[in-house]
Amino acid sequence: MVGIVELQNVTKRYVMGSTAVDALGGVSLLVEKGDFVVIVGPSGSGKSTLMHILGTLDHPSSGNVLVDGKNIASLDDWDLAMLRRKKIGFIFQSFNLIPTLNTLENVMIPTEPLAFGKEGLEERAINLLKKVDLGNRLLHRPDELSGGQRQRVSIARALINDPEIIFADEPTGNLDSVTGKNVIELMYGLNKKEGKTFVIVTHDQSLLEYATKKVFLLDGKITKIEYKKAAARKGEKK
Amino acid sequence: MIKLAFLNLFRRKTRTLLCALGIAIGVAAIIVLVSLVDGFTEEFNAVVGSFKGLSVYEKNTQDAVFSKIDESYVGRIESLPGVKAAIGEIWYVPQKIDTEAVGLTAFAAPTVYGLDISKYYSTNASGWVGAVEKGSALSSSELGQVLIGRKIEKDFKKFVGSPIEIDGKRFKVKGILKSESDLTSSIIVMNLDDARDISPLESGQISSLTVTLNDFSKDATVAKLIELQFGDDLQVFTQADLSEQFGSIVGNLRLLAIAVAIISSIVAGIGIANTMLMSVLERFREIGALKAVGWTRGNIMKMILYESIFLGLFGGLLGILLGFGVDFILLLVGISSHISIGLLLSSFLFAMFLGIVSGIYPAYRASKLDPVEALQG
Repeated sequence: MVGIVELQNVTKRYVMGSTAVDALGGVSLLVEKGDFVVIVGPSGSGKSTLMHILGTLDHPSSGNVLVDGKNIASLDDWDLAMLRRKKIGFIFQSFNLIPTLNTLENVMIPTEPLAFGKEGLEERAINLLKKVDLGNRLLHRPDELSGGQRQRVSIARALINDPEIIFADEPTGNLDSVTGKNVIELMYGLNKKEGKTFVIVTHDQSLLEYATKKVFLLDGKITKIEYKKAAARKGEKK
Repeated sequence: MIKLAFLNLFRRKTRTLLCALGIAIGVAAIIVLVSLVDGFTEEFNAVVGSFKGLSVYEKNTQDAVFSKIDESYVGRIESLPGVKAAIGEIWYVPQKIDTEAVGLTAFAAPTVYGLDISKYYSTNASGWVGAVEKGSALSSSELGQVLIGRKIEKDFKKFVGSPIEIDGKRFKVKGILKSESDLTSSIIVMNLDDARDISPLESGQISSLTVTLNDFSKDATVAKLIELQFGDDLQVFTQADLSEQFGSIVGNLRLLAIAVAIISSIVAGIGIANTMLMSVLERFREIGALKAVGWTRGNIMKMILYESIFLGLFGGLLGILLGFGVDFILLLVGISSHISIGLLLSSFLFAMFLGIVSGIYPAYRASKLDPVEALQG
């Protein structure tokens, strides 16, 4: 089976003056359709770098990144933007919503540059917002929403282009534990019921219980990958 | 995207307003300068353009006020072929009207224009002296009477029948000149002998001559003839000469306006570029997020350019309002101007152009932002 995203022996080296830092030292990872990958590691372990490379925002120093079996090294900025627009969704720790736009407009922002094919998008955005329980907050602006609500807006934004894979960088990092749990349960539900593929990067070990694939990262290397059958996950009968 | 760019502009209202004000001042300066030049040109054409004849001054003087020639030239020029009449004139800037000190210090200083009225009527050289709005025209038999321009009427609160004292001599206002031009609104028209009484000219002297012709199309020929005969003492201006002289003054003003336009556009352009650059750098995380969710570099550039064009247009609109305001205030103090549609349109386009040009670099910087850097921290 071909993975949605596959890393083959990827390294990333940052050069600052005379010192070189190896953020990633030979990482191989396969993300398959329907996966709920949780990558954990202490700060400085290279997990953000790993996510940026998985999400095509950054290029590796060596090794291959395959998306749908195709090496992305040959793609230019424009191709990569198109790839992200069509196949990838992002959820950020600090939400990164546009403060001047309301909830509905924020969800639709990835589709804003489209010249055509916008029919039905607003309806789709409204449905997504209903799904994340914000159907009654369509015209609120980000500063009128709580942290948990803002993160749910960004989840809806990540889903607007019906992506194959969604990357989340510390999605619970700016939220209290109860709100964070609600947010992660929401993503979990989308994975379980709709088969959406998630890759979550976090230092919060408690998210591991939702994972189909637990990836442990330390000093730029994967120390362990644990697989769990979907059926064995939290809340599901064995 | 246009809506987003528009909203983004109003996130920092004070900064946007200050930057727009910078553009507005530049645009207003251009509008005011050009409209003044245009207004001035219009007036000149209305007064001088209708004049059909020659002006004769003392050699090497630029203005009739400083010219002094012998009255005998009236007869000597009239004896030349092609000349219909030579009308003697005295131009004089008085020191005092009633008890108020006037003089060359003021803009459009009150000026006495004495002329041979009877000859003027017989030849009808130039229209504006004969056109009276209130009261009646001067006659050559009535000394001690004057016609005054509208500005004199207003400034010194005169009406038909009022006494008016010019440099110690009493006159009576017989009529108000009809002409609305700034060039004639500060003029006091009187008989030649009255003017000679108050001016420093001695008897037998006049300031200048207006020469009317049998055939106006031959004006250059007659002008040459006069200079050939009396060129040692006199100089002659045809209507074309006057227009050319005026044209060179206006040309200089136009150059000044262009210089102001260039300087203000550089200043305003730097203002826009700085404002946009700051706004881009402040939003680096947001812009990074847009790139992450699939916006291309072109999309980002377009958004920032829209913002900067809006900023330019906003400043342009403000500048047009400001320009109208300044022109209105100038009108209140008696300086008229002419704002044409073309001027408004070109100022507006200019502001938009400024927005585009100075937005290019900030837009480029925004498009180059690394989404990874944008998302960290």
